Amino acid sequence: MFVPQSLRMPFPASSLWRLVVLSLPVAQLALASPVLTNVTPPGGQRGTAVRLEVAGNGLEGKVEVHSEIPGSLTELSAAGTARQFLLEIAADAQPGAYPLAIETDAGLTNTWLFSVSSFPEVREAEAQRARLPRNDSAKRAQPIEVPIVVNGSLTEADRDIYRLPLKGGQRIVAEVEARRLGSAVDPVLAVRTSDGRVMVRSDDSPGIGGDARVDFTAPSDGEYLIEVHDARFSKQQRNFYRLVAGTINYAEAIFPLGWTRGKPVEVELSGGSLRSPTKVTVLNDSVSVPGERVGLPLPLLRSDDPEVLEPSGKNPALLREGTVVNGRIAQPGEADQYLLEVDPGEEWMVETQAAILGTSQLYTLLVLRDQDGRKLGSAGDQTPEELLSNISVRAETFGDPSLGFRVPDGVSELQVSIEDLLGRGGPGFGYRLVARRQPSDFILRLDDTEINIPREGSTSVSLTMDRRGFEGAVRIVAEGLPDGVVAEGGNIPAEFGGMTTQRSSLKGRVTLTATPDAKPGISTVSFHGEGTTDDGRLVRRPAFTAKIATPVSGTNQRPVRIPSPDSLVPAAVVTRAPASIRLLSPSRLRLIQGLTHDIEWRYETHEPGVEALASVRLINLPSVANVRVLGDAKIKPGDSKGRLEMNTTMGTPAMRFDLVLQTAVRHEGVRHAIYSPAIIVDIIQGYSLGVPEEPVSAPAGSDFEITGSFAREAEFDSEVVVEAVNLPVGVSCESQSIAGSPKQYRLPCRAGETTGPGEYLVEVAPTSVLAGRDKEAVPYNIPPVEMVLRILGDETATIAGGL
Amino acid sequence: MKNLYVLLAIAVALAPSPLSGATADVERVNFLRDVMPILNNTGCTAGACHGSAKGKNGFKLSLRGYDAEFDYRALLFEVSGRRFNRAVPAASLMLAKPTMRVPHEGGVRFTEDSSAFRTIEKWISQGAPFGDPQVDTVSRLVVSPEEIMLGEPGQAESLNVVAHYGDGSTRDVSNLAVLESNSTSTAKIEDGAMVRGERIGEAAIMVRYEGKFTTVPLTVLNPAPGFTWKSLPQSNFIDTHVDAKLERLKIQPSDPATDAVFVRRVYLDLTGIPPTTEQARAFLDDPDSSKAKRTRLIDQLVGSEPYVDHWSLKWGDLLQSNRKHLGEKGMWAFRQWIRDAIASNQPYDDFVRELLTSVGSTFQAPAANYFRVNDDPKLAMETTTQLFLGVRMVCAQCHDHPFERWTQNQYFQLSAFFAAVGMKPGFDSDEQIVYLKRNDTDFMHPKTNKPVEPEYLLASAGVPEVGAFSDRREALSEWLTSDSNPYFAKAITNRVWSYFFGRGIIEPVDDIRGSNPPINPALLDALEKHFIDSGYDLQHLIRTIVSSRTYQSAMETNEWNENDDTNFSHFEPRRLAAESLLDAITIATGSRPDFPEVPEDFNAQQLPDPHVDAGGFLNMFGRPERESPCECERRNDLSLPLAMSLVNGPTLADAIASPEGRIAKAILAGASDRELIEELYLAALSRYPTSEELDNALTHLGSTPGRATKAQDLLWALVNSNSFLFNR
Repeated sequence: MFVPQSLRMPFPASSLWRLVVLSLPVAQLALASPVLTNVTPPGGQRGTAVRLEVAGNGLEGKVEVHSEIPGSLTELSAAGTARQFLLEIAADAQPGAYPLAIETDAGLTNTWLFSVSSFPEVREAEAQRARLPRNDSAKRAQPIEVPIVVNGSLTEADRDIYRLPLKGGQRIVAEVEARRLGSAVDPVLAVRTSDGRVMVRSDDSPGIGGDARVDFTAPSDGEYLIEVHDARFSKQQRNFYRLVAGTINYAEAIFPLGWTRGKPVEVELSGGSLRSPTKVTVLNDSVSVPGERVGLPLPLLRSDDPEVLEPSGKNPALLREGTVVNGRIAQPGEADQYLLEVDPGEEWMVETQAAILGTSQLYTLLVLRDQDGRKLGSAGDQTPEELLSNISVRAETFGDPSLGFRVPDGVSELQVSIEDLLGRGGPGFGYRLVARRQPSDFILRLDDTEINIPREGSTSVSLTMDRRGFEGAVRIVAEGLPDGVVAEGGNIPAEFGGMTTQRSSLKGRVTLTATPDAKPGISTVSFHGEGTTDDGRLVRRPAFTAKIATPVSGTNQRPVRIPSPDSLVPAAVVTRAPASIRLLSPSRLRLIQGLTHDIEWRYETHEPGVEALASVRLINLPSVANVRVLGDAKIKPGDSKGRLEMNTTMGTPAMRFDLVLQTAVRHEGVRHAIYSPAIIVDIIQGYSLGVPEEPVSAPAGSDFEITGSFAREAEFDSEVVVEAVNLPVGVSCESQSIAGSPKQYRLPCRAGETTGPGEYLVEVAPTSVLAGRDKEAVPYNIPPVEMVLRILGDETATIAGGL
Repeated sequence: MKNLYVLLAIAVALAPSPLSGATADVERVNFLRDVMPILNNTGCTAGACHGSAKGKNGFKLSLRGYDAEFDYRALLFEVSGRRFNRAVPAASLMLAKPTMRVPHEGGVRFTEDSSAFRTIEKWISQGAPFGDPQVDTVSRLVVSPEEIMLGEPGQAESLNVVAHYGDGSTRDVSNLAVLESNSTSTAKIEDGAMVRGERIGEAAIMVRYEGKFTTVPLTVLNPAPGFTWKSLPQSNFIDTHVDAKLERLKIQPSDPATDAVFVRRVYLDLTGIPPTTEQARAFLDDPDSSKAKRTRLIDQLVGSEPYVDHWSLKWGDLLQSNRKHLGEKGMWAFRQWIRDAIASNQPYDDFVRELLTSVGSTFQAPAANYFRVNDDPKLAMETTTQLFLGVRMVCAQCHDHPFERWTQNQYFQLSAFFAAVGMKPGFDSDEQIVYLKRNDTDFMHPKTNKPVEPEYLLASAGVPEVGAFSDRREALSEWLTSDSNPYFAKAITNRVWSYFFGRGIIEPVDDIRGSNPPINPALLDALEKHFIDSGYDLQHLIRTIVSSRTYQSAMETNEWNENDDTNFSHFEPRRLAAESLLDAITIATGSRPDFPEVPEDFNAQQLPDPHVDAGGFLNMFGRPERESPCECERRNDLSLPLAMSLVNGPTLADAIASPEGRIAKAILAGASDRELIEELYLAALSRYPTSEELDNALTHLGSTPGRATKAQDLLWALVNSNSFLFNR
C-alpha cells in the first residue's frame, strides 16, 4: 500500500519532543533494539484521560518516553510485558496524529502515531475481551451511537460490524484512520441497511492516504450497519484502525499541494462537507478544516524551492527554471500549457508531483513539444515496454512522470503540457511542476526509521535509490553523527543495466560503528548521496526519511511509509551488544577482476551465555557484478575465527561496493543482529593503457612510433603484450611484451609507400594471462583503446593530381 | 490483388496450350469455379492434409480453401512450376499425385477416369486460368429440402445442392458439396448427398461448398404407434414454444415436479445452495397452492443475498476474477464490482458497456480489471466475442473461420477496437491504471504489416460509424449491445438458459454459428425478444425461465420422451457444482469447512477465487481455474475418484462427525428418532422421508445402541445418494 512521501503528520523536529523520564526499578535489560508492537488504544478524545498500554519487545527496565501528544503521561504498574500509562490529553489539543516512542538503554523504539480526536471514544468490544462475541455479522453487530470513535482491530480475515440508529435524512460522515497512523490495514468501509443491503462503500477516498471515508444520509429512520474490513482480508501484525463517525467537517481537495518551507501560504480547501471552497492560511505542513469536529489534517508538502501558483488566465504560462509551479486541472479535458525557454544542446529535466502525494487524483500526462508544436516526448502514458524504444527522451512512468531530455538543434522554446491521463479534472486534480537544467537525478530513501548503534559494535543502515536518469555510482555520506561514531561504506555501484527499464544497482548500506568512548544518547543524523555525472557535475541529494515504515504482509505489498518532514532520523548510541564480529583481513580491498579474496573475521562474545544463531554471512553483494561468496561460516561452539571466500570473474566490472558481515545471536532470550563495519571493495583492472591524446602523424613511407602510458597494479605481475590492430593497409607495427612496471609502452611502426593519406581509427590492444588461485592461467584482456593515426600524403602531388 | 492478376496474366500467356487451336465451344474451366471445389471435396485442403498449418511434404494450401489466391499461387509458382506439364497435362504432377501414379502419402484422391481428373486436365490444358472472382465465386447455396423429416430410423433422403455464382449462373454441386452431420448417431451421410436416419432424434446437416455453407435440420421421428399429444398447463411463452416442437416431434413432456423436488431445485439453481431445513419445511408445510407458493419463493430468491453470491460466482468465473491475474486487492475489488452489478440488477447491456469502456485504476474503477485480464488487443477481442456474443473468433486468427463466415481480416479488424488500450503501473502495490493511449494506437495486420481499421463484425441498424466515437471501444460496445445485434441478447439468453437446463438451446453456449443451429429457434428468438423488451433485465429473464412449466418438469420420463435429451421435455439431472456440493454438505451436516484467508462465515459460493479451497475439495470437484472465459473450464462429471472421495474421503466424514454438527446437536437437544430422521432428510434432500424410508430408518436407529453412529450412517448414505449429489 502506498503512502505518499509528503503525507505528513504534525510531527515536529526532535528537539521539540517532550521527554518523560521514568525511573523504575531496574529490571533485566534487553540489549536488542527495543520495538513497539502495539499501542492501545491508538487514539483518544481530547480533554479525557486514557489508559495507554504500550506493548513491545525490550521495553523492560528504565525507559524514557518521547511523546508529542498534548497532555501528560504517568506510568502505571506494568501489566505483563506491556507498559501502562495514564495519558491525560489536553482539552485544547488539535485533532491530529502525534508521535510516541520509547527509549531504553538498548536504544530507541520505532515511532507510533497516537490520534487525538474531538469525539467520544470506545473500544471495539471484540478487541476488548477475546471472549466477547465477534462483531463480524449483522446479528452480532456492536451497537454504537454517533458521534463516536471506535478503536478496533482486524484479526485474520476479519470484518467488524457496528449497528447505529439514524433518523431519516440524518447525514453522517464515517471514516477510518488506519494507514495515516501507520496501520497495515487497508480499510474498506461500507454502510448497509439492517438487512445487509449496501448503501455506500469506500475503499481509497481522496486526500486521506489510502484510508476510507463515506458521507451518508439515511433515507429513513432505522438501524444501519457500518462495516469495516481490510481490502484483501489480509492478516496483519499492525492491524488496528479507528472508525470515526458523526458530523465531521472535512475537505476532499487541497490547493496548492505544497509550498516553500517556512513561508505562509493560503490554501484552498474544497469538497467534502464544505459548501464552497474555503481558504485558510497555513504556516506548517498540514491543513485542518476550520471548525471543531474535524478529523486528521491534510498534508501540505514543504519544499526548499521557490514556489508559485499557476498564473490565472495565462495558457501557456512561462515556466522558470527551479521554480515549482502549483497548478490544477480544474476541468475535465483541460490541458495546462507552459513555455520553457531553452538553448539547443542543453539538458533538462521536467518533473511533476501529483497522485504520489496522496492529495491529488491527477494521473499526470506530461507532454513536451517544440515551438512548432511537434511532439518531442511524453511521460505518464507509456507502458514499460514502450519506454525501451524511447531513448531520445527518457520518461519515467512509475509514480508521477518526469522527462529528462537534451534540447534538439533549432529549438529555443519548449511547450510543456500537463493533463489528466484519463481526461478528468476538478478541484482535487492539483499538481506541482518544476523544470531544472539537470537531465539526470536520483532519489534516495533511508529504509530505517531509527538507528541504534551499540558501543564497541556496529549497526547497518539500509538505503534505497530510485534512479531518474542518473546511472553512475553514488556515495552515501552521513552527517551529524554523534561523537565517537564512524560511518563506513555507503557505496552504490554504477548501473550496468544497459538499455532496459530494469535497474538493479539501487541498494546501499552504511555501517555506523561506535567506539568504547562514544557517549550514550540520542541525536539526529542525516544522509545524503553524491554522484558525478558524465560531464563532471556533482549531483547531491538528501535521503528521504520516514517516521513510520510498517511492513504489510501479502504478495507484492510495499510497506506503509509515513515520511518525515525533514531528512533527519533519530540515532542512539546504546549499550554494548553481547557479541561482535570484526574483520581480521583488511577492510579496504583492491581486487583485480577475476581474482579471489579471503575475508577473515573474528567473533567475540562480551557476555556469558551468548548463543550463536546463524552463520556469518556477507550481505550487500552487488546484484549485477558476478560476485559470489563461498565458505562455511557456521559459528561452532568454541570458534572465534572464520573465513569467507569472495570470488569475482572477468565479467565483474571495475567498481566500488561494500560488504558487511552479519550474524545473529541470542542472549537471555533476546535475539540480536550483529554487524561488522563495512568492507569497501574496489574491483579494478590489472593494468591500464593510455594512448596519445593527439593523433599520431606519419608520412607514407616513413617509420614512426606509437607510445602510450602503462600502469599495472602491484598484484598483477603477468606479462602483457601490447599490439596495434585495425591498422590501415600498408601500415605495420611491432608488438611489445611488457614485464615489470615500465611507465610507457612503445610500438615501432612503419607506414608503407602505398598507404593512403587520411585519418584512421586504430586500436591498441593488450593481451595477457592471469593466474587464479588454482595456478591455472586464463586469458585476461582489458578492452582495447582507440586512437587516431594520421597518414600524411604528398600534398603537392595530391593537389596536382587533383588538378 | 493487382499484382496477382499481372502474374496470372503472365502465367496464362506463357502457358503452351496444346488446345490453342481448339474450337471456341470447348467448355472453359477455371480455378475458382472448377478446380478449387475438387481440392476441397477430395480433402486436399483439409486440416489433416495440405490445409494444415505447415502443409504436407512441402506443399501448403489454405485450410478448406479459404484463400483461393494463395492456393493458386502455391500450385502455379512453387517448385518452379513443376506441378504442371503443359505439354502433356495428364502427366502433370498435380494429377499424378492424387491418382497415385507417383507416391502420395494422402493416397488415391480420385482416379484417372473421374470427372475430377478430366476437369483438372482440361484446366491445365487451357492455361490454368484463375477465373474472375466477381463471376466465378459462389455467392450462395440453395439446398433442398430445407428441412428433413424422416418417419423412422433407417429412412434416407438425398439433398440437392445448387451453387449460385456472381454472374447469376447456377451449378448443381450436390456431388461436390461437403456434408457433415453434427450427430452421427442420429443421422449419417452417405454418398450422393444422401442423409440417413440412424435413431430417433434430431441433427443438423451442414452443407459446405466453396466457403459458403448452410444447415439443414433433420428429425427422425418416433415410429411407434399410439402417440396422442396430451396438453399440459403452460405457464408462459417458453412452454408454448417447447410444446410446439415436442408435439411436432411426437414427444410427450413429463409432468411437473413435486414441491419437494422443486424447492431443492430452485434453491440450487437460483442461489447455488439447497434450502436449509427451516426453509424446506416452511415451503413444504405451506398450505397455499403449489403455483402460488412457487411464485412467491421465486420472487423471494431472485435478487436475494445468496442469489448475489451465486451469480457473482458465475460471472467471476467468466470474467476470470483471479488474484493470479489481478493481484489480491484487484481481485477483491473486481469481485465487489461484480457483486454490486448483480445486486443492483444492472441492465446487462449497461454492465457490458461499463466493462468494455472501462478506464482508470484497477482498484478504484474495478471494471478496468477486465483489461488487466485481457491485456492484449487480440485476447480482449477473443474474450469479448466469446463471452458476450457467443462467437469464437480464435480460429480466424490464422485463417478464415472454417465453419462460419468470419474472416481473418475481421479478426484483426475487431482486435483493432482494443488497440488503444494502455496499462501502466499505478501508485499502490499491485495497482494498474488502464487508459487510452494517445498515440501508437494502430493495430498492424501481420500479413500486410499495415494498420487495420476497426470494423464491426456485422452491420447493426442504428449504430453510428466507428469514426463517430473518440474511443473505439465505445463504438464497439454500442454495436455489440445494440438491440439489432443478432448475437448479443441471443448469447446471454442462451447462456442463462443453459444454467437451468444443463445445456443451451445452442450448445456449446459460446459457439454460436450458422453451422451450429439452435435446437428450438423459435424459443430462442422469443427469449431474446423477451430479454431485449425487458431492458436487458437478467432477473426478469431468470424469473421467467424458472416460472415456466418446462423448468418445473419432473426428471422422470415417459415412453415418448425417454430418448429425448435435447428438447427440454423433462428435467435433466445435473451433478452439483463443486461449490454447491460443498455448501450442500455444510447444510446437510451442519459443519462449516475452514476456508483460509476469508471471513469465517463465507460459504463456498462466496469464495473470491480458486486460490481459496477447503483441502482441495473444490478443485477436485471441477471448480474452474478462471484461466479462460469458457464455460468448459467447469467440470461437473462424477468419476470414480470423486465418488470415492465422498465415500471414503475426509471432507464428508469429518463433517458428519463434527462435534458442532447437526447430528451431535440434535441428539444433545434430545431429538426423537423420528425427529432426527426427518431433520436429516430435510437437511440432505430438502424433503420429508417417505413412510417406507421413515420405517427403515427407524428400524436402523432403534435396532441396537449407538444412535449417533446410526444417524451418521444414515446421513452418510443420504449424502452419497444421487438425490443429494444431483440437482434433479
